[in-house]
This record gives sequence, C-alpha cells and structure tokens, in this order.
Amino acid sequence: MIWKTFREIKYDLKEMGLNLVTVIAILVGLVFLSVVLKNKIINQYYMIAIINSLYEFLIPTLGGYCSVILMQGLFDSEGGDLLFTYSRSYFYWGIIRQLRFFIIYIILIVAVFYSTSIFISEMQSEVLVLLILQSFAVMGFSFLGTALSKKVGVGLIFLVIFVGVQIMIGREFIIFNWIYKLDGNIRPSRFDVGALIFNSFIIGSISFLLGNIWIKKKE
Amino acid sequence: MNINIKGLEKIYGKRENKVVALGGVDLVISPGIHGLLGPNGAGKTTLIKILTTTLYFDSGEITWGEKLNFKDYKEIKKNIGYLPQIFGMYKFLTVYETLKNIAILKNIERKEEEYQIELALNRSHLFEYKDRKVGHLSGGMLRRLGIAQAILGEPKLLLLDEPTVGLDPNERINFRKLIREYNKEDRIIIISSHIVNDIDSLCDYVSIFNKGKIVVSDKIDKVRNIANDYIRDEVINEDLFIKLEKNNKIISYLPVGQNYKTRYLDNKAKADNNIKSNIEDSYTYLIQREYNDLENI
Repeated sequence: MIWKTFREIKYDLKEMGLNLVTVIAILVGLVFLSVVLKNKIINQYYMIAIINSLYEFLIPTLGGYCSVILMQGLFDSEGGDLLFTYSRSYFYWGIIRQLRFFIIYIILIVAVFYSTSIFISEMQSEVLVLLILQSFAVMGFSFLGTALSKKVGVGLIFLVIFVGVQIMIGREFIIFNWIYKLDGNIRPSRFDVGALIFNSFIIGSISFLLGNIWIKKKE
Repeated sequence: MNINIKGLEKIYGKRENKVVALGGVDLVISPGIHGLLGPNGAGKTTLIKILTTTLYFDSGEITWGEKLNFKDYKEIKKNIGYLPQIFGMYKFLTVYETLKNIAILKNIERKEEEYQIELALNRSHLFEYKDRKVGHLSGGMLRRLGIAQAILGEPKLLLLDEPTVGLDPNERINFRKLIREYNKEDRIIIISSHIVNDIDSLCDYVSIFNKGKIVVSDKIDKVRNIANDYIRDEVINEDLFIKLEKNNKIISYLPVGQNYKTRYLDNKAKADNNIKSNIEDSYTYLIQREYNDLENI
C-alpha cells in the first residue's frame, strides 16, 4: 500500500514536469538571495524584515501554483475526464493528491527554511509554522478555484487575486488581510501570528473540502 | 453477459434551454462488437460517457448481467476501458511511463503490470516508441496510445469514441485487426464512429441514433439490407446529376470521364434492381426517413 502510494506520487511529480523543476529552482534561489541580502544590508532588523516578506510572498504563492498545476492532467489536457474512469474515487483525484503534495511541499519549505537558518541565525521557527499554514491556505484556495471552474487558467487567476488582494490592499486595510503578516517583522508585529495561523488553517481546510465536493460534481 | 439499458434519459440544461440528449433509450448490448452510428448530437457520445460512469443519467436503468448496476461506479470502473474523442495527457512522460502510471491507476496487480503493458504496446504497435515523450508523438501515435491505455488490463467492456480519427489507412487496418483479436470470450466492445466503413467492417451489431433516440438496433447483416429496395446506381451526365441532387439524397459519386457514377436514394419509388445496400446506404436511408417523417408531421 505504502509503495503504491510512493509510485503514485512519483508519477504525479513527473507529470508536473518543468513546472515543478522551476518552482524548486526558485526556492533554492531564495536561499541564495537571502545570503546575498544578508551581506548587502547592514541593518539586521531591516534585513530580516525583507527576507521574511520575500518568503511570505513567494513560498505560499509557489505552493498555490503547484496545486493548480497538479490538476492540469484532469482539467487542461485533452481527454482529462478519462482519468475519472480509472479505479479511483473523486476523493483521490481531489483532496488525497492535493494533501499528499502539500506534505511534500512542507518538506521543501522546511529544507529552504533551515538552509537559510544556517546563514541567518535570526530566522525564527514561528515564521516557519506560519509559512506552512499560509501555504496550506493559498494551495487550498487555488485548488478551489481550479475545481470550481475546471480550468487551470482560472485557478491561477484565483491564486493571483487571493494573494494580490491581501498583499496589495491588505497592507493598508487590515480587513482585506487574513493570512499575511505583511510587515515582515516577527516582533513587534501588527498582527497576532496565532490568529494568522488559525485563519490560514480554516481557509485552507474549507477550500480543500469545497473544492473536492465540486470535483465530484458531474453533469 | 448483456448490458441492458431501459428507458435511459439524459437532459442537458434547464427549462427553455434544455436539450434532450437521450430520450428514453432501450437497448440490449450483447458480447461482441457493437457500433453506434448517428449524426452529430444524436446522443452517441452521451451514451458512451454514461457507460464510463463520468456522466449522470436522469432516469432509466443500466444493468450488466444479473449483478452489476451502472450506479455502482466502483464495480463498473474495474471493468471498463475507455478511449475519449480526444486523448493527449501526460505530455512530460514517456509512452512507457504513461502506461505504467495508468496501470497503477487501474489497480492492475504489480506482477501483471509488465506483461499487460507489453501486451498493450505490442497490440497498438507502439513498442518501438515506448521511450518517446508523449508530447513528441504524432497525432496517429497519440491515438494509438489512447487505444493502448484503453485495452490495458484487458477490460471486459471497451468503449471507443471515434477511435480511428487521425489514423492513416495502414493504422486503421491495424486498428481493425486489434479489435477483432480483442473480441473474444465475454467481452463487449462499443465503437462510436462517423466512419461508416469502420462500423461496417468491424461490428457484429449496429445501433443507429438520431436526436437522442434509437432508429434501429440489430445485427449488422439485417441493418445492411434495410435499404435494399431504395438504392440506385447510375452513370449520369452533369445536368442530370444537378437535377438529381435537388430531389434525391446522393450517397456517393465518382467522376467517370464527363459523367458521374452516382449512388443515390430513391425514397419515392421502390427500385426494381438487385442492388444490395450496405451500412452507409441503410444509415442514409433511415436518417433521411426520420427527417421526412418530421417534415410530414
């Protein structure tokens, strides 16, 4: 059973092809960028703020992108509905594959975070938890958008709107920001990190569940 | 085991926008090769999608033998292979990897996997291309890969929607051979096609659809003879040809010098000749008759 799951994951990742390679390359690039910033910016407080903001913006967004791409075979390839005829449930095509990939993405986030910590000791584990939960929310919302429209393009628009509204408008109007810390500093923060983690968990869970219901919806 | 379809209805849209895709279809599908013919929008693809369990039906019942019901998706999925009208997935994987992935998704036992993949590759003449990326396959090869994934695991019910579209003449011959070889034991193969020749040369049974209803469903030999009395074959000049075109349904024609060797349908008077009709003639006759009936109403 476990080996079968590993084999399924292997082909899920292979199917994502260059998209996944690009995402991993950007994540690795982020570590190098952090090291460069550390050497360029003298004000340590300011340096941490910038790195946190970069991570907060890029890591969940890339996760959301992967969630959408994971659905490409189902909705954007020619004859994708064929997949639903194989011996797998709608639950499998939706939430199981998504959560399985989320676990892999957590491993990537942890690797990126701790690689950065080697060079920048000020990185705090509280940020790591927040990044994981933010990714959960953004991935869930992107998945919901893809499932509702059954189109990868629309899923990406959902992703851009979700992240864009919160980061651009939420910076000025707190009511539009549910998951981002935005100021980049861990302390003092305009937001309660615990509340952001809670919000992210709720948004992600509801989105994944609703998305799966919609995948199951046949004509 | 037969598939029994009783009073099958499928309606798309609601109220004034509703379209009846299947309007109370009754059909018995016996083991063997069963062809579905009909104009666009006749309901063939809708029926196939319902049989794949990817589309709900509004009313009616579909059973397979005494035990299986098509509402029991889990059991049905174990027994079907499906080729959709368009197939082009897994562009980043090789042909072999694609089939391996599908073997896992089809729950084929691991010890059987290699044998089944090799069998599908050989049957679809794709073995030498097994290491090629799907994104680099030609249209015909992609179609063959679609056929390979459908027969992978040797399902008892094979549903093929326009299987020969994009295949060159040689590939079409290979496809017919493959299907004939596959047709054994208790297997049911359902082929929906616009290419009447494929149905004529392959199928044991044929069902002709029009506007969501079955016009006729029978053994192919019987259906072939339906238009026997209404077919005429004549060599005529261009003027006559133009006149004929206005009043009769021309089935086929071939330029012969200045004239045309024309095969046409004479609905009004029974022809007193001994021309044997084929499936294309019968199909044209039946669909024409349906439209004439509608006009009379």
